[in-house]
Amino acid sequence: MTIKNIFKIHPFYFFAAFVSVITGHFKDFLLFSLIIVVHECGHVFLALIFKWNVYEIILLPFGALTVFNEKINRPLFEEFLILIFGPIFQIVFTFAFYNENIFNLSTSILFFNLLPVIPLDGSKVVNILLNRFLSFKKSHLITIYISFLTIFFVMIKAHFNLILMLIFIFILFKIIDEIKNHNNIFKKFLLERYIYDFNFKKIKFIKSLNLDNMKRDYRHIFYNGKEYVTERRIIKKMFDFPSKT
Amino acid sequence: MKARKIFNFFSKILICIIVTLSCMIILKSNSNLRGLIYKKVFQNNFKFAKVNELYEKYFGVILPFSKNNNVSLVSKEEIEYESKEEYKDGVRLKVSENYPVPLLNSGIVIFIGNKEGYGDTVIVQDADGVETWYANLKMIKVSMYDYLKKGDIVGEASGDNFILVFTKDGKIIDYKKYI
Repeated sequence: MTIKNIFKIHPFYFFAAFVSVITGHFKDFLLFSLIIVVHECGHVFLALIFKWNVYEIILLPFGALTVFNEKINRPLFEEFLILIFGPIFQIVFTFAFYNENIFNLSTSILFFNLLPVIPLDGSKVVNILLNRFLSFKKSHLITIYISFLTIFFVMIKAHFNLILMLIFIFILFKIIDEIKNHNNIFKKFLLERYIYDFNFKKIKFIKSLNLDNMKRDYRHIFYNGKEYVTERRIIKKMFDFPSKT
Repeated sequence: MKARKIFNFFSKILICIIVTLSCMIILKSNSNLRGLIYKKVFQNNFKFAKVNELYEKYFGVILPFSKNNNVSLVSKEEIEYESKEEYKDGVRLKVSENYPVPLLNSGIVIFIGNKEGYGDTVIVQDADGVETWYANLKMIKVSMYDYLKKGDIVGEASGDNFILVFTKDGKIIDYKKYI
């Protein structure tokens, strides 16, 4: 893995760069890109500390995406810290090089990034908060609903703007992807628990055999009316004899 | 694999050299073309302000979330001057000491520096393609490629006068239209 493999520039970014050059906004655009890169550095820095696998970083006109290739069952607080350090790096950078212009650009990136829409950081915050109280499957679904509603309202409210429209298209495709993969993500969540040994401290007691009630950061014990069954046995059964479940 | 990379690299360099040399040879042999290219490439500025206006008209602003208003504390619409006289290509306005010079037309700053015979100069290009020189200034408050609005303060007049020059496409135009 090299930097060249990880760091990718989306075609929309090239388009925005071209437009900003011919209209004479290159200074602002460079600042914008710099702030975005600093923001992503925050995520990557913490990811290196926790030894998360960074799959790719995609640079877009109004933000960047850091995509991880990591287990879903990693602890919630690690994910939360990785998430929160992007904005922290950005805010520190903004106040270290304080300037009215940088401040304006930085706040606008921050507010856009904290919208609860799926590829953005805001949705991940929402997802982590939901995972704290609800089951994995439910919180994932609710995150998708919230991002759909939010993007819908933002699209109605926003004035027509070509570059913004491109970003909305990108986001919509990402959300549709997430919906399509909803079941697969849940399967991945289960499969990881089957393959690896996670030593979760907390135990959740479920009074049925419904796997949908499983939560992140928890070990589960199911009760089927007669006896208590560990989560591992049910998942093993499910993957080893797929036709019976 | 490595040999192929090196080959690619050198072939690119070779192509660059060939293109540059052929351009030079063509320009050397054809003086008409050379004059045209010098005029188009080296004397005219790219019309950022015009493209920006067109783009914003049809596609919206470039950076949707940023509000680029340099809020200046002092902002004036009109230039108040005591007298005016012709100076070189433009007009010299007599004003009070340290007079803050406001912008006449919104546009983008394309030059800041010293022009011979004019002193420190700021050139602002507006959407019509007119380039306005604000010369003989001190304490210049703007920086390169800033978009400025009408009435923003460019700088202070050095002494009791400053100079305005209006040009379009490299030609001087009459200042009486504007002042």
